[in-house]
Amino acid sequence: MTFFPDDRASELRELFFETATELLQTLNEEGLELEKRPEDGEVLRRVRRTVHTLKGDSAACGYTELSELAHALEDVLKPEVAALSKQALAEVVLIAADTFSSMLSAYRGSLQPPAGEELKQQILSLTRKPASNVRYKLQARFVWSEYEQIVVADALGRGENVYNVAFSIEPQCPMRGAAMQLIRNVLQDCGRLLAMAPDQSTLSNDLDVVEAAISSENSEEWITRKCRIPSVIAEVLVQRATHRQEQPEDLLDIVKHVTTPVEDETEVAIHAEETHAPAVEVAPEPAAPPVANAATAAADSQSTSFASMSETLLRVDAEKIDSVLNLVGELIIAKSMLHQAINEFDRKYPKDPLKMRFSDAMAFQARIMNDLQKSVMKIRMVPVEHLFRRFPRVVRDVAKSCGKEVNLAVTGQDTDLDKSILDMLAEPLAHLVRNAVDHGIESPAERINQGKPAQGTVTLDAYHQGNQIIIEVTDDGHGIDRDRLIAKAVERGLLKAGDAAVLGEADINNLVFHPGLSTADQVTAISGRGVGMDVVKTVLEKLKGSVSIRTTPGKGTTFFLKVPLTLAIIKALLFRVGDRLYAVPLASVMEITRTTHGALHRVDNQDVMQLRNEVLMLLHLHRLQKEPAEKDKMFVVVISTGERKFGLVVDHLVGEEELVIKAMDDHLVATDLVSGASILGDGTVVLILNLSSVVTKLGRLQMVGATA
Amino acid sequence: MDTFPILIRKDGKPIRYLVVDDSVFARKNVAKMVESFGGEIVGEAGDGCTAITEFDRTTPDMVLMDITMPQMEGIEAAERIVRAHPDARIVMVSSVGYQENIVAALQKGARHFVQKPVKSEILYEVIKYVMGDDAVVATPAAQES
Repeated sequence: MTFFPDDRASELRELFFETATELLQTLNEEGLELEKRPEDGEVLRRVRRTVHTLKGDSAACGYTELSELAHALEDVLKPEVAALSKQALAEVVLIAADTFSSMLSAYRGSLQPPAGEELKQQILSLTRKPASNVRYKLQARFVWSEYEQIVVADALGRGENVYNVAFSIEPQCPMRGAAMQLIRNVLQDCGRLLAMAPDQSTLSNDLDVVEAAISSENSEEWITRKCRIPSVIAEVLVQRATHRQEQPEDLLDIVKHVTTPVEDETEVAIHAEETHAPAVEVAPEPAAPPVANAATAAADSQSTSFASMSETLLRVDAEKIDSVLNLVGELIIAKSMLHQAINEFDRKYPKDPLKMRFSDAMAFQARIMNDLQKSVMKIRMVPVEHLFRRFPRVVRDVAKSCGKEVNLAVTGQDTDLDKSILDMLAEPLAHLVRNAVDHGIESPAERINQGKPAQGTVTLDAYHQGNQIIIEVTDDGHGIDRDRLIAKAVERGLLKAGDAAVLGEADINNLVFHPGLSTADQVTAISGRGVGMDVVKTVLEKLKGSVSIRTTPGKGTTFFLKVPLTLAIIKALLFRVGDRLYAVPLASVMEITRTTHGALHRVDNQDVMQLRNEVLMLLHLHRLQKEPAEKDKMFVVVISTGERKFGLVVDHLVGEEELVIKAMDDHLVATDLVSGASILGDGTVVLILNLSSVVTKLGRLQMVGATA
Repeated sequence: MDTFPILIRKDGKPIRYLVVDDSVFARKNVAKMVESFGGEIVGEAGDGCTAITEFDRTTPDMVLMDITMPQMEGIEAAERIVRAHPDARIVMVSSVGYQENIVAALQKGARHFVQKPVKSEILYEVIKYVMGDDAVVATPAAQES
């Protein structure tokens, strides 16, 4: 079903899907709001506006099934229906959002969309009781532009029959531009068109009234019949215009009275006063109820504010921003090249007067570069709210389906995060939230028994911590049952019964992330299959982040998702092992310490050292290189992954550096120990270690080595 | 299908229609509707060119014209017909989303438009409107709107 003959079709359709997804999100939110306040006319109007836009857009893309359904829905979104149906209307809106969403994905895949029968039935059931169809009375103002006034006055002066005609467009008429053209045609058939408002050939969707003045030989009755155009015009008002010479003050008064302050029209009125131009004014009902006018004026001003808002927003392909970011990355490398060259120059010619100028220029450039990098990064940043806003609906649905009462509290939604990270977090977060509601929160009865409020709370929070963003998902449910978790793990053979005692709290909690492990006895449709948590962990690792858990039995559970601010540039600690240069993200480095061979101990086949009051497990990085270059003194970089700390034994420390990460294709690197590479100013390639896999790999290596 | 009061020409003869659409199904669908209004299909065409020759051959009272068709689009056909026969009554039939085309057709002399899927009650009203004084309701019992 292609309506656009050229290549723009796919582009437009892409745009449609994008906006439609946003619209559906808005619809979801508004539906929830409507559920809370079914009587609120403003909420209803907003829902209606959203559905209306969706209808228009989908119709424009040729997705008739969707547009027809949206149309049907729009029809029932009336205050009368809302008053009768109460919450049922909100329910229908939410069902509609789901139906539309599945239709969208069908369209996206060029499949036959679902018919949406359920939705149709729901909509029908809402209107089965025929709501009294209050059609608002057509209000006409007949205010013409200055030029038009002269034309009308001129026609009147020549004794022609001038009629003022007002049309109200059929609310269901989808093609207002065509309607406008038809009105124009009909008016020209009736006689000579003198004035018409609005002037432009397309009607904005808010505008429902068209006014015109014609000079005609035909009778008023004939014109009325002719103007009653079926399927386009709902109501017609035809009035014989008379020549009236108003006193300017009176005229101003009437204009003020009949029109609410719409700027250009008062301007016209003022003009009329100044020039004393002969003006034709027909005030059909001088005491026109101001309410209706005020409403249209409000709608008008709203639409203009939307229009002016959209102009300041630019839709840019993420790829373009990425390429800019890439270039900035290259610039940073170039900067450090320059820096190194200047340093060398300094050493060679310490007395050269150029030295100062170089370093000034260098400092200036570095500052600009820094700003540039920050601004480019900011482009990619979006508030976490984008992600959080979809959860009220998730929580409501899950809570409803498992018969719980759950409230969602959201804080820190203004925290900015890289868009690509945000997108990747959507799935794991949704899983955690579903889990929290389904497994974490107890049933209302159980909660009351435990002295908790019947309504559970799931909290989403986001905040900065250094160069990282932390997103917390907290529930005030019963917490994770450690004993049962261990029992399950032993049952599945993931853990030896004896080992359980050795494991720390964090280790036990981390069992949750094992694939195929779920403490939920029942596998519900929503969660409990033990697949999801594994996904959560994988995604977080891919993002160079981590996930950790804090749980208090009976009090609740909090999941901490830590992700870097951005994926493109990191601050890293560089060090050498053997002749290789490595880097680890600075965010995961806790401290650096030194030790000697004599201070090492072996516990459980693992090298450990004592760091203040803690026992630190050591990982020998040169074991990765298979060269046993053991020195007596060594540096230990203390890193943390999730809740655990490890010491990386390294040969030399090189320093801190901002690294531009170059992703490496899978066929370039056959190991997951390295998460990327970077190029330093002097052209050296540094490998960025993927800490979580280094920890598992080295831990296992040592185990294997011990048993062999 | 709803039943409608029969519409006939002022001279008592059935209204004669030319139905133009590249989809045979759409043609039959519209034809069935207008026949239920008491009309007579005097010609059918699947593209704009045929529509013009069919119009010249049959001189129908009313043309129901699809917008998108192979060879010659409905707009051009409508324009040519109206240029040759200024009194031709052409109603454009089109899906939502062809607004620009409909506006163009209306500018070129089409009298009205109906939206696909065509609803018989709307088509009936549109036909009645476009025929204007040249058509009357056959049964005296029928109420005037």
